Formats: sequence, structure tokens, C-alpha cells
Amino acid sequence: MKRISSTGGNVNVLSIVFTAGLAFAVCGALAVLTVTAAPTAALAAGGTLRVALQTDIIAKQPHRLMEANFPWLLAVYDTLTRYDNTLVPQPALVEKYSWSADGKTLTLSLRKGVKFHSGRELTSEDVELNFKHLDSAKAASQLKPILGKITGFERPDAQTLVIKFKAPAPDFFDTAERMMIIDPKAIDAIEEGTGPQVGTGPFIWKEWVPGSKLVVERNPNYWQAGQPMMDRIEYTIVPNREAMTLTLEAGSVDLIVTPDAKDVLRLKSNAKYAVIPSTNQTPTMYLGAYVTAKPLDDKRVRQALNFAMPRQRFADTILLKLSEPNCLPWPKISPAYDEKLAKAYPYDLAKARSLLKDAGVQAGLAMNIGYSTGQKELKEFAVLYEQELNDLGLKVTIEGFEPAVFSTRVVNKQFKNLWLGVAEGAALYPASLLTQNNPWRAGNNTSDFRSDAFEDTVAKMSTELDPAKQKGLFARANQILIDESFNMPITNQPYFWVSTAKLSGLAFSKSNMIVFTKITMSK
Amino acid sequence: MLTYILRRLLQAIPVIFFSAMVIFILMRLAPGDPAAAQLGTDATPENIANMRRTMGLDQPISLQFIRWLRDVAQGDLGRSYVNKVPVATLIRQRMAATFQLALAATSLVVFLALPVGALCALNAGKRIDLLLTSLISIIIAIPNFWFGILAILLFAVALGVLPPGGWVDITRDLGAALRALILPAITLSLNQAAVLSRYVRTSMLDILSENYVRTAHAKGMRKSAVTWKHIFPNTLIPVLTILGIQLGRMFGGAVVVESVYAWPGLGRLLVTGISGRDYPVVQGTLLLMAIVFIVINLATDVAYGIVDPRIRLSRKR
Repeated sequence: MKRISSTGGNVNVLSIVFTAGLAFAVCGALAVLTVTAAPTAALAAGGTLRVALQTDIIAKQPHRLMEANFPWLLAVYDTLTRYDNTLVPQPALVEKYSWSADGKTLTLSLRKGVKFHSGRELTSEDVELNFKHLDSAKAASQLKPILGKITGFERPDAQTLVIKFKAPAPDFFDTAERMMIIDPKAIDAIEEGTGPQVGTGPFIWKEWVPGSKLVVERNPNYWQAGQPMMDRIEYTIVPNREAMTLTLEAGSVDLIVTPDAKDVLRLKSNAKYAVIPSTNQTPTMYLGAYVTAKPLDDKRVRQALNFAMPRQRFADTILLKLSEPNCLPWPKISPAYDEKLAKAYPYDLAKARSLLKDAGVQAGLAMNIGYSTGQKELKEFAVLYEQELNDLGLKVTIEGFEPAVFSTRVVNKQFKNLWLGVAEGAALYPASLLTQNNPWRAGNNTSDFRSDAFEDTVAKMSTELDPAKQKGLFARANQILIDESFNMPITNQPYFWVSTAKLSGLAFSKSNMIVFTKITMSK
Repeated sequence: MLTYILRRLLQAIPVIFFSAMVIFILMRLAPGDPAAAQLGTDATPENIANMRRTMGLDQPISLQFIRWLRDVAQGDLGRSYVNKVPVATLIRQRMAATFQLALAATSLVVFLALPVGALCALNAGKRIDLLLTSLISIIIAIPNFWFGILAILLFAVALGVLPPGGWVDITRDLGAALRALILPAITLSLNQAAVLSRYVRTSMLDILSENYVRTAHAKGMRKSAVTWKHIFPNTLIPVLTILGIQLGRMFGGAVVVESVYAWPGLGRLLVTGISGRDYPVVQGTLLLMAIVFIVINLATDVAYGIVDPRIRLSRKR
């Protein structure tokens, strides 16, 4: 019989196979045996704050505001001013400011002795260059519209910047609140991905591995004496939300952002953890309607859809009572929030049925609802809502789109029926949402909704400095939003951070960015 | 052997070119604009047009392909649209983590699948076989993410003996790197080991019924000698094919495990690239994966020759 195996060759293969397996097993066993306790929590002053994030950091362009960057931007950068709880700008890099009598000239006095991490002192020229950079195509900044209102800059000295406006700009401080002041000499390298982020913030950018981690270290020359309290912040990316929560429970991190609602409730009842809700800007979940095609061109149909929304059930069962129904885009802290109008469309199927009948809508009418697959809660809302619309005799199709496809469709107005979206920026000066956000913009929005009254109101909101008159304009805008229902808010998305109970001093800016300067960890 | 390897490598060039072309075209055919994906729902059409120009997407596709191919030939895979980091750097950062996990998991797969499969085959129909095959079926049915979360709960949260996730560079801290590797490697390998052990069992059962095995026993060879010299080596031939495919998949297909254990591997890089329509990252990563698959296939073929000399002889003719 022919010999079919070569002993030498086989022994080698088998040896390799078993040696590799054995080596792994031995290493694994040794690793388990030599396991040491995880590093203990940081000291009261100094130490390392460990943060787990679900979404990767996008360290390309700090002038473009991306939610993924909100957890680190204010660690590395400062802004000119920062809103307090009543949206009054408080000093930051700007020590004081003053408006001219006609509201068209703003004088900013910069804080003296503030240094970039590069060692350069911050000057008025740097701030001007930051404003001008908003115009760059690479920045693609949402803050760019402010440039359309500015006619020029003057620099009387190194610490003073005078900004001239075409008309009063009450929304200017929305930009001052959100524009990171970057060292202009570092901008090119940041945009090309060849250099570190260089700001004036409490921490210095040290190490970034995309998709894995970010490390920032205490800025010893920070302009706020004695701050920050921590020596170092380490961010780790944990893409799986459940696993992110477990890293906190395993003691591997001290702080996590937006865990699942069920985990928020679970951890809330455990004294080892602190649940920190953001009461600031929480994004608005809404149903958008394309209003130039039948049947949604009739506002009675849109109002019927508004009455059929199971907002309370959604807030109770899907969001586990972590949020409240809201028929307006504004969260409670917004000056445009109106408690009565926020409840303008209580769940009322009889009313919805009656409005549909008045509009001549026949049973079996087909409706499509698009949503982004990146928004799990909205899909669950769509399923709840589908049942309600079916009860009204409508035939509903729900369609999920990848986030990239969803964005493309919203921007290009490709949703010709209904879609579920999330709007950012509703907690700042109300004109910002209605002039900058695609689905909500007066004049050219995703719904193709046009109204002279609405456009006129928003234009006036954008230039009115008198708070009493602003209030009247907000009320008018709200009446139009409620009556026309081209976008139908559902609720404000809950936004939570969960930390170990040892952590204190966590604060948020009005744009939901973390303020790190006062964070400490007890022993 | 060297000539054979060189010939196979030359044959790989058109395969890689064709793969590159298919990858490039498929990405362009996928719905979703990279500029809109970057800028989100509040972007203006002007912003998007500017961003497309910056990305070079306003050029004809054929020109984009030629430019990309030219750059790749010069070793430049481009820069990520999302974070501007060179794709080569992103891949290099992920390669170490991916190799570490793939090699550890493959070692475990081999270490588990071969003895379990052999034990089942040698005891076919007996109680131990029934027990192990039932266990294997259960393991195959368990989703990776579920097992991963449970493993974290048990070993990291409840017992606190292993970290819940994260990758540590093996050159920086060997002990920490190995500790971090244990749970992801076990999670990734368990399902694959179960599948492979079934192949080992089936393959070995086939070999056991061959005439040469019966003859070897009839000659009075010791049972262990028959097993190690005649049965096991021949069992390895089909097993190597499956193992090669499994290893190739681990380089890009470990996304779930990478997500659960915060493991910065190539799979996650690819998936986030696809969802963000980050063309350079997707093209670069897929191209690398195509090359890895080609190399693994080649290595598998070479391993056939080592395990079975007839394969080598037939090539010489």
C-alpha cells in the first residue's frame, strides 16, 4: 500500500498547532493568576478621569459642531462667552462686552494673559481669524451664517475686538457660546490631520488613536486659577451601549454618556452611581411632513396626524418617563417655550378622524414614514404611531434609512411624505433653529413649507434686541408652528451622563458640552 | 515550492486590481452622499457642494478611480474624509489589534476544535459524542454579542478578574495585553471552534472508514500510532480549508466582538467607514482584506502540500 502521509511534515504542523494553543492557554492562565486590582479612583485633587464614549471622536474641525465631539471640546478649547441658565452671556475668554446704542456694534474685551497650548498669547487678531475661518469650505461650520450679518472687524488693540453688524444680532452669542477659539497657526495642521488640537482650554491634547482613545492632560498655565482639578482625562470608545454601561459597573471608567433608558433607571437606584441629566439643550424629536404634495398640503391632515401622536405613551413606555411630551421644538429652558402650546395636541383619535374627514381623506390612503436607523427610539415611535394611523384607516409603511442616506434625503428634500428626525439647537436663541436648521428653516426647509408671515416673524426675531418684543415674536412663531404643523415635535430626547458617586462638579454648557474645570473625584 | 509561490503571487495582481475596481464601483453605487453624511441634516446645499469639491467627488468617477489607483500604487491610500487621518495610519493602528485578536482566536479555535472533533469521531455514537455534539450545537446557536455581554458581566463586573474591554499594546504591557485579550479571543473563537469541530468530526469519520486505516490496524499498529500517523494528518486537509476561511474572516468580520469589547480592529474601522461613506477608509481597508485573503489562501495551499505530499508531487508533473 502506498504510504500517504509524511511523518516529518505532519509532526511539524501538529506541533505548531498544539504549541500555539498551549502557549495561549498558558498565557491566559498566567494572565488570570497575575490579575491585579483595577487602578483605584483618582484622588480628590488631581488624578485621572476615565470616560467611556459610544461614538468615536471626530477631531477634524472644531468649528464644525458635531455631537460626537461634545464630550471633549471644552476640555481643549474655550469659547468667548458662556450662557447662564437664563441665556445671559457670561465672561469666558471675553471679560466684558458692550453693544452700541443702535445694536450694530459690539465691543469685546478679551481676558489678558490667556495663552494657547502652543505658548502664544491670545489676541484680538486670533479671534478675528477664528471668525473668518468659519467661512472656510473645509470648516463647513454651522456657525457660518453669523458672517452674513457682520460687515467688518476693528482691532483697536491686542485685547479689543470691535464687530460691526448690518443689523442688530441678538443671536450673536449663540456663536460666541459655540465657537471654539483655535490657535490660527494650528488650524491648517488640524484640518490636514497632521497636528494636534491647540486651544486655550483646561487640558492639553496629548494622544489620539481614532476609534480607540483620546488622552488630554492638565494645562498648567490655564487662565482660571486652580483649575482644572483633574490631572488627566482618558476617553475610551466603547461602541456597544450595553458594554459601555458594563465598563462603568466593572470600575474601568468613571463616567459614561447616554446609556440605554433602562440602564439609566437601574443605575439611578444604586447609590454607587450618580445619574446626571442635562437640562440644557436636549434635541427635539419630531415628525416632518412634506407639505406641497397631497394629502399633506392640507394643514387639517397634518393637524390630524398631530392629534394622533401617542406622545405620552412613547415618553412613558419607550423613554421610560425620562422625557415629557412636547408639541413645540423648544425645551423648557428656552425663552420661546410656552407651556400651554406645548400641550396643544393631546392624543385624540376622534378629533384626528374628524379632521381627516373634513379634509376628504379616504380610508386606505397610503403614508410613508422614513427614519434614521441610527435613532433606535424613533423606530420604536414609528411602530407605535403606525398602529394609531392604521386605526384612522391609513395604510402606513415604515422605512429605515442608514444615517448617511437619511441625511442625504433630508438635505435634498427627498422625503415626499413623512419622516422622523431629531433637531439640535432648540435651547439657544430661538431664531437660530429657525434660520439654520434645514427642516425648521423659515423660507427654505425640508418640508417646502413657505409662509410670508412665518418668514417675516423669523426675520424680525433675528434682529430684535428688546426682550419684551422678542417674547411677542416667539409667541407669533409658535402659533404658526402649531397651526401649520409642517414639523410636529414629539418630545425632547433625554440626555444623561452616568458617573460613579465619587465624581462631582460635572457641568454642561448650554450646547451640552461638558465643562471639566471643576470635576473632582473623592477617594 | 518557491516557483509555485511566486506564480501564485503574480496571479494575485490581476485579482487585486479587479477587487479594487469592484470595491471602488460598489462604494460609488451605494446610496448616501459622503458630504451629506459628514455634514448632517442641517447642512446647506452650498456646504455640501463645497465639501464634495474638497473631497474630489465633483470629478468624473473614472478620473477618481485612476487617481486613487495611482496613489495606491505609490503606497498612498488617501486620507479619511471623517477625521483626515491618512488611511494607512488608521490601518496600521488597527492592524496590531486585529492580528493579536485573530491569532489568539485562531489558536484557541485549533486548540479546542481539533481535540473535541477527534474525541467525538473516535467515540462516534457514544455518550461523550452525543454530549459534545449537543454542546457544539448550542454554542453555534449562541450569538457573539450575547455571549460577550454575559462574559463581561461575569468576569469583569461580578468577579472582577478580567477587564471589560479595551486593547493594550502587547509591547507596552504584556500582562495587561493578555488579560485584555482573553475575553474577546474566547468570544470570537467559541462559535468558530464549534463549527470547525464538526468538520473535524465528519472528516475524521470519513478517514476512519478508509481501507488504509483498517489495514494499519490489521498490521497490528498501536491505536495511537494509527490515529496520529494516518488518521489525523488526513483529517487536516479539509479542516485547513475551513480554518483558512475562518482566519480570513476574523480580519474583518469580528465587528460584533470588537464593538462589545471596545477592541479597535479593522472590522470596526470598515463598518464605521461604510456607515459614514468614508470612501478612502472603506477602499483601503477592503483592499487590505482582499490581500490578506489572498495570502491566507496561498498559505493554506502551501500547508496542503506540507500535510499531503501528493499535492506537491502533482504540481511537479
